[in-house]
Amino acid sequence: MGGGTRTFAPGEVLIAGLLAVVVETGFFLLLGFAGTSRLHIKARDKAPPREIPIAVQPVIDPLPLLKLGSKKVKAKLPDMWKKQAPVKQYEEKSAPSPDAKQTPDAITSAPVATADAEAPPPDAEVVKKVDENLQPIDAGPTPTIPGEGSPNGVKQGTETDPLKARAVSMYTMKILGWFNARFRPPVGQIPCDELKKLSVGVAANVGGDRSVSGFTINGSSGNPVFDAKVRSTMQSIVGQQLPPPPPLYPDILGSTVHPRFSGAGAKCR
Amino acid sequence: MQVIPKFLVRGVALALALALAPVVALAQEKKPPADESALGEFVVTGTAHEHVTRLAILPSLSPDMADVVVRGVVRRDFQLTGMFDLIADKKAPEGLYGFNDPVDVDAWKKLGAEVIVKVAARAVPKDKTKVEVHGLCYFLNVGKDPVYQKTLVVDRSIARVTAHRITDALLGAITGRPGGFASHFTFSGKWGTNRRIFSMDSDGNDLKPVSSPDVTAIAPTWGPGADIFYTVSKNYAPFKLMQLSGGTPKAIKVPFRTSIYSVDFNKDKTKMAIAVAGKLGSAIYVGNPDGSGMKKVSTTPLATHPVWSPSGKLAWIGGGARNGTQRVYVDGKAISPAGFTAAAPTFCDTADGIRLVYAVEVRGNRQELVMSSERGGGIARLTQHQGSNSYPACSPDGRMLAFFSTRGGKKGMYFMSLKRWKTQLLTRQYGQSLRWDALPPPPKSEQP
Repeated sequence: MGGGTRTFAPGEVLIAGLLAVVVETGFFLLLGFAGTSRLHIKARDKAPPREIPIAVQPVIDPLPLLKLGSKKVKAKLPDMWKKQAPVKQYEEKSAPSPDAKQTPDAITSAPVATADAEAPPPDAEVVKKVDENLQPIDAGPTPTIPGEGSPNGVKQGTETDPLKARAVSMYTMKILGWFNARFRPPVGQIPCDELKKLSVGVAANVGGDRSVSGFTINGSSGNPVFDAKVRSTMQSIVGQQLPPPPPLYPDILGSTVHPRFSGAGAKCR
Repeated sequence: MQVIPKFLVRGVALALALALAPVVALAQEKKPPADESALGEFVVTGTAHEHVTRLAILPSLSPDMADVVVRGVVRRDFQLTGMFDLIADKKAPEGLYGFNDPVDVDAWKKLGAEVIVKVAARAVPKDKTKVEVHGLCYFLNVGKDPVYQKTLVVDRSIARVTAHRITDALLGAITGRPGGFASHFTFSGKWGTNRRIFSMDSDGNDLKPVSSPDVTAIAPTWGPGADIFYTVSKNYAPFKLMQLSGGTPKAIKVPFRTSIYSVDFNKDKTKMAIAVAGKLGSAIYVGNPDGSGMKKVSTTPLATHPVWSPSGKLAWIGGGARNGTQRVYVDGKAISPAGFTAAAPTFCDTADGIRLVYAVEVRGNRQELVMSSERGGGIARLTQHQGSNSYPACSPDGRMLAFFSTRGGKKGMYFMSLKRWKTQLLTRQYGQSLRWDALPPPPKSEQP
């Protein structure tokens, strides 16, 4: 590469050098000429804006006015559900009283308690018969009934399968609990002694999806206030779903259930 | 232009309808007629009553390990249900409690027992690999004859599972609703800097990691054939859907290149729902368990954590910029309360009907569990001021709820009885995305 052709010819280099000198000289001459000139440019004031009168036509704002309110209330979760303590039931029993009147009306229909039996607490729930009586039922001498059945059964029994009988019992308790949670006897509207004696039967129709589709009140309790309470309770129940029957016995829930609403459990003060 | 006369067409249609009518009638599922008189009349007083069954589980004096395991498992399962008043072992009447010894029904009756359960196991004399498991149950209001009795011969390795199955069968006999102890858990837990998938029996036994320690594995669930489906990511790559079959993981082909956040299957495992990451949010797609036939079903800009109800409804956590907080959506409708960030919904098929349980975020970066009906009504709080409670999962029988909690400084997995609302610590293992499912049914010869 040392003795190869040159990129620029000597003449070209000479001309380039001359032109560079001319441009540099011309630039400095222009600066010198501009500095010696007496020419001045006077600044001109900006013209003030013209006032133009316009007609203002008031119009109604199409946006609705904001509603008067307060600060947004922060959402709150309900408190943790607490299980209600079960109420212990006491069977209605009469103890001999020295203060009892000596008249036939004063004789109680309830069974007489044993002499050393403890009295139930003052606020105890006293019922004719305690739920889930676990005492063996006396079915009398061993029956000699032909056909299916259990030697431990009772004459009135219909169920031959003890497992199903228990499942039915448990499901009945569940349905009962479901209705109990939705019924409050009209305490304060009916005298307590009268309320505890009132009851009325209902036939509640159950749809295919276990929802209560309708009801019929069978007769009357004899008290219009109690009847109205039962009616309003049933009206609020219509559309709600009953708990499902146990999976092993899906056939125990029919198209009708028969609750009997009673004032016996009313907590009167 | 009418080519075929109208009367001819009508005639043929009528003939076809008449011919097919009996076939259609036969094809319809015949439900057994309901027993209208079964429940009878019951008296509603408006007062809450509850009867807790007093139950005796006969003690065992056998030195055979199989007997100790089977009896221990059954007793613990009954304890975990929280449904019964169990008579303590120390109160057991004196007597013999061998495999073939008769039950002293009268002595137990004096202790107030209403139901007596006896379980026992012993080695099969001619085959030491097999055990004979015996279970029987008495209702004392019925008599001295057992109402349930079963003897099974099973492999010694599955004696424990058989004990769970016997418990489930006994619960079915006592309540009409079989138990859910023959089941297993899966969840995602911490493992160094990664997360691994774990599986565990329903009573906390046999806890083991099942995914590779080299990847981040999340959102497991039980799929067809009791295989675990979950999603994995390695080196921050998008999460892929995996199936763990026989201990071997394999990728499920889905028509998405973005991350799969979570997965769930319907009750009979014929449909799969997955949460797929999108450009600005995520969406729920439903298709076949092999990843084919995926169709978008979610309607919210953000949709994660799909979960099926036993009745076939699909729930997910949805939200977006306009919606504000994340809420539980069931079949496209928001059902959790507005203003609360909801998470991890699950359905429980309880004795009172199907219930939805989910976690809501409260102050102090904690979560509380709430329960509502399947459609969101009747909301009730299950936990309050007991640490942070998250990732609920329901037992297959709907009796119990498992969840992770930090209560009392004891982080772990807890059981809550949905019957008695009693909470018990199951294991100190803590994690996320808890799922609980039934074991596949055993062969007919091993069914209690």
